[in-house]
Amino acid sequence: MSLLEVKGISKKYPRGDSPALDGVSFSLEGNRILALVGASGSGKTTMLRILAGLEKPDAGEVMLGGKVIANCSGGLAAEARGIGMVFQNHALFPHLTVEKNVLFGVRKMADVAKRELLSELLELVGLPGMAKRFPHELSGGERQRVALARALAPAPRLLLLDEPFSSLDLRLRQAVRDETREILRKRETAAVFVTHDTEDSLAVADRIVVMKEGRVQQAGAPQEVYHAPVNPYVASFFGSCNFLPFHLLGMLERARVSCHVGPTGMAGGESGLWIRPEDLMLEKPVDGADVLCGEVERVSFAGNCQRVFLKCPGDLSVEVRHQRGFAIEVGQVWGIVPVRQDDGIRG
Amino acid sequence: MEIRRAASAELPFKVVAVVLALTVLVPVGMVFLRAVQPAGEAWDAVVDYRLWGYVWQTLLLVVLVTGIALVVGVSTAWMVSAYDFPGRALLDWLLLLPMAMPGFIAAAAYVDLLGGLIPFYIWVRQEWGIDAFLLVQKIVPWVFASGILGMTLFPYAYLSCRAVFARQAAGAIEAARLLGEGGAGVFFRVALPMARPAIVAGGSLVVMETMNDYGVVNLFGLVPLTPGVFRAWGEGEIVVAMRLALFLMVFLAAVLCVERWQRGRRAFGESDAQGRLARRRLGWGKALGAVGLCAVPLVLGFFLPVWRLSRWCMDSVGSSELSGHAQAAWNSFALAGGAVALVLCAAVVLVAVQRAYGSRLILVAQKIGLLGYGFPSALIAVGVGALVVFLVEHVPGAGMLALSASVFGLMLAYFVRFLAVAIQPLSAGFDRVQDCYREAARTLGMGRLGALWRVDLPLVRTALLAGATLCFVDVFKELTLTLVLRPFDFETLATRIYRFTDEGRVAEAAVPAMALVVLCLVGLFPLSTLMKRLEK
Amino acid sequence: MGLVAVQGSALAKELHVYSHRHYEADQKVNKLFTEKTGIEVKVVNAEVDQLVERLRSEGESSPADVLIAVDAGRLQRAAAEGLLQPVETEILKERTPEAMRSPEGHWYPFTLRARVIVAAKDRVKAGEIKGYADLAKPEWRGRVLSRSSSSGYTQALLASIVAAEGEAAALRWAEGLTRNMARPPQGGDTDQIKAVASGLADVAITNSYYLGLLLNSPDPKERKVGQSVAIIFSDPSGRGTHTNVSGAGVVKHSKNVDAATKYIEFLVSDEVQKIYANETFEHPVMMDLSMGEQLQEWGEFKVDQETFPKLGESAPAAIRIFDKVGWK
Repeated sequence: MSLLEVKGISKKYPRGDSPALDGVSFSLEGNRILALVGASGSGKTTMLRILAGLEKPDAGEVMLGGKVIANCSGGLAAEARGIGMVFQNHALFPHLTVEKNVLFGVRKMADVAKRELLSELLELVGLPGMAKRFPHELSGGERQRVALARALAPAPRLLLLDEPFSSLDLRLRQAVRDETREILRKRETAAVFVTHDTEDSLAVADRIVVMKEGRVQQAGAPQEVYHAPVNPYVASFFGSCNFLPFHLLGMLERARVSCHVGPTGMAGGESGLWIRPEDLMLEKPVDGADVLCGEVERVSFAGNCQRVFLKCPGDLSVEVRHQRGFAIEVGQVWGIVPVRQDDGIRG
Repeated sequence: MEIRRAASAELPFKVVAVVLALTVLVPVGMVFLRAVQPAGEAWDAVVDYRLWGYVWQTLLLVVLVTGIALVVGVSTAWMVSAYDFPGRALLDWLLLLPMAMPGFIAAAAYVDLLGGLIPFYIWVRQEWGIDAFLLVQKIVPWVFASGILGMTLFPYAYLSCRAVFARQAAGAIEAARLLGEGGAGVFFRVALPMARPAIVAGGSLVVMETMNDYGVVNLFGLVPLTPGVFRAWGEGEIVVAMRLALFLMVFLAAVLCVERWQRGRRAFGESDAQGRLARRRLGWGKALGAVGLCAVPLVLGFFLPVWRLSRWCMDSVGSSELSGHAQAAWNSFALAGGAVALVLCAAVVLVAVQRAYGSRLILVAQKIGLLGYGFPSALIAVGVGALVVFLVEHVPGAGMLALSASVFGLMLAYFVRFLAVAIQPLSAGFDRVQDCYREAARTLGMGRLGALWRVDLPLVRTALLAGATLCFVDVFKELTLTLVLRPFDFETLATRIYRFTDEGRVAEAAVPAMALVVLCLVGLFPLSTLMKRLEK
Repeated sequence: MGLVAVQGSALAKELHVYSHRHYEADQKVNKLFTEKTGIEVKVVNAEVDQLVERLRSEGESSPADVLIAVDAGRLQRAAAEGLLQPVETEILKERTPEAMRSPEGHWYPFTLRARVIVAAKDRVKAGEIKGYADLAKPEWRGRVLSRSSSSGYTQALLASIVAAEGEAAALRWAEGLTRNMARPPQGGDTDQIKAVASGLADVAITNSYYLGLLLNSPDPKERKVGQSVAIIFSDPSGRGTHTNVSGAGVVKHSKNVDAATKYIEFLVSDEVQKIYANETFEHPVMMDLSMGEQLQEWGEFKVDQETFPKLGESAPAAIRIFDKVGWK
């Protein structure tokens, strides 16, 4: 049985016309990490706060460990749920030391045990010896880690994280992200975190729930969501995605044989394929060959590749991620072919 | 070429700013100057017999009033911020109302109750003897005076704590809840410590207002420092009055030091407000308790006085005093209007022009201007009084400015005291308006003053209006300074109400008293809209 | 409105009076004066200290013609400061007692105000109290009420005791009385009488006319209060009852000395004296009790004329004593 079960949660804000949440359902196994992703206003933060007990749903229920903890008549109070939370701005108690912050929620423990727990947690988050510091003496990343330690200290069954990495700059972000995943694994704590950053969710989560305007668009493993999006919104949420109508497929015969190909779908009244820029490559067009060709309109240098935007017949725009050695220039004509799974160095 | 032109355009404003700053400092200067002059045996007599009484009465009053105001203000702020119960939103706003009830008017509504206690005193004498009888009578005025002051001043503490609970501490409060703390735990372990700077700030305002009060303490027969200063002044003992005023200053400085110390302790700089605090719904019993807790100070500090006063109003409708009331009201309006005009112009120079030119000198002058609010009223009164006397004696033709003959001294005192009331909102308003608008105007070819006039000032319209309204209401209800410095045969609404109350004719004071309260209510609106904005 | 000091009016048709008194009877008197003489009376009401301060700072440009005060001590001090000018007329000499007016004619009294003791009829036996001195005796602990020491009436009373018995004795008296107070001084004379009636204390010191106002009040409750206390004139065999005055003097720089003098003469005329006797219950200066019924009821009493001239000079000593004994 799942640890966390969310069934049909709906909530409407008095001031809004559209609901904040509309029939949201998902589940989470113990020891797993779930990411709620979506644009601002998609309702992900509201969902998190309902899980925490800071807000009350209008309909639906939430079950934790088989027990109902939230429904439209309120449910368990936040402090009784055994759910920890790491806030976006850490919300460390500024008047308490790191030690007092971390041990705040720990009760019914002997002093000796508390001190052991403290040093264990500080080790875990990589801040040994910081026990006597005050929050204002710490850097952003350090504060985030203290917040994590504090939330973990009472050994909650479920941990909630609200945009936990958004306040960190790029360099720190990846490191802290990976560390957090490791920590949660080590503590065997299930977690739900909310983010608008797709990279965070893909890197950390075991399960991703994509939300848009209060509704769940897709829930599944990261690979699934990335490579098999159920609709254009999900597809484009995780990065650019090309749509190639079927009538051009004749030229992509080989495509159906072996490569990662996105779902079939509809766009603008035509059916076709969704395919990611990195699943395409550029080839010298051979006259007479049945290959989709396009003229390079724009090239943008992205560090580890070139993003090449081509215009194809039928007014079709295609983006290709070009990682080969030679540079592409505007005005050239290239053939577009899918990357083969076993494709290596062939040019 | 450009730079030199700017400098010369700046100069007149710099001069004006310096003059304004000096104006604020001059009364204090006068007090210091006169205080060090020899005072003779009058001072010795005061030290021997009166000084200790003044000092301990001031201390006791401040401690009692601040205690009451803080307990009431902090607890109601917590109730209203952290919990949800029927009537919460209404109470949230209503709890500001006692700010529209000046202490001496509430006192007017309560002072007749003292007479009703006589049977109680007689009973005490019968049960417990004469000593208890005398003791109880000494205690009762203290209960009334500190209660009235506490119940009308607690909104200062309420406001400052409310802001912290609802915004700055919101994240921490929610975190504490999720870490398993129940209501009381969250309050004592997290909310209260985090609100300490706000509590201290609100508390120091309460202390200042208490020390400046004259009406309430006089009506109940208490004699702290402020009435003591005025008594010496009235007896013609100028130097004694100055020295006593300095005592007040020392008190105040001590309070401000405590405030500084508390604020500097923990750097609570991180005030990233992340939206409103989610309130917890209360069950029936607790909800009733919460409503009761909030209602009691409201009733005592506002509704009960209003009800009693309006009943008296009904009785005295055909009173012969109405023309006198009208004259006094006119005087109040004129004074307040004049003061607002002066203060706004000065505030515009000290704040807006400072922004336009970025002048350090004007900024310093602005900071000095803010000091005026912190000077004790008694000190300003005798300082300005001494200044006017000096001018009259030494400057030929200045006779017409004499205290008894003109409102010059009074306006000067109002200016010193209330300049800060306009500077604060204006400064805050400018803080919210970014420099980028003015800078954009300048890159589009507008000069500094032009940009100020056409871009900045319109953008801070609301702040200007708020400052003007607050200043108007403050001057209108001002009593302490006005009693001492007003010209002969000149009454404001406030002094008239006070005089009638003092003479025992409370019923006739009811009509002007209600008028004053209504006006103060109107003046509360900028404050409450400011608060609503905080909510969003 | 008085933002700038106004120059005195050149017309003899106006008289500027600076006065502390503000009873309805005073307005009546002023109206009568205007009817009789055609001179309009413009009154400026304020505390006497403020009036004196104003006269001082106005100096020569003062528009005031007459100063009226209800305390002889203040009048004496104003005269000593040179704020008043001496006037002498037959009428004024004849119609005011010599002992109760300024020897140089700086000011003249027009009502007498006796400071009497009122005692609760049901709690104080007749004859138990003979004079002010009794009130300081220990058996009266917690039973006496007095007005605050900041009141001119209280200051004058103590000043008279200082003048009569010396500072040391006055200090002892003040100490005794303060110990005997049923409550710290609070309120005016009427409040003291009401408090005695309500049972808070048994005796109070007050001006006689306040009792008169209560006894003849349109409000039956107030009449009952007045009836529940007995009036006691202090020390009839000794120096008598301390009596203060309402007095008027011509201001030094007055521009209408004639009109001012006529006004003061008018105040001591029979007509006006009768008005005061019957409406404010103050005693007429020549002590003609037949002018008022209430005054007749109270009867004759001895006016303390011995200490009267020294009230002004004894006042500072009195204030010191108040401080010393803590009489608030």
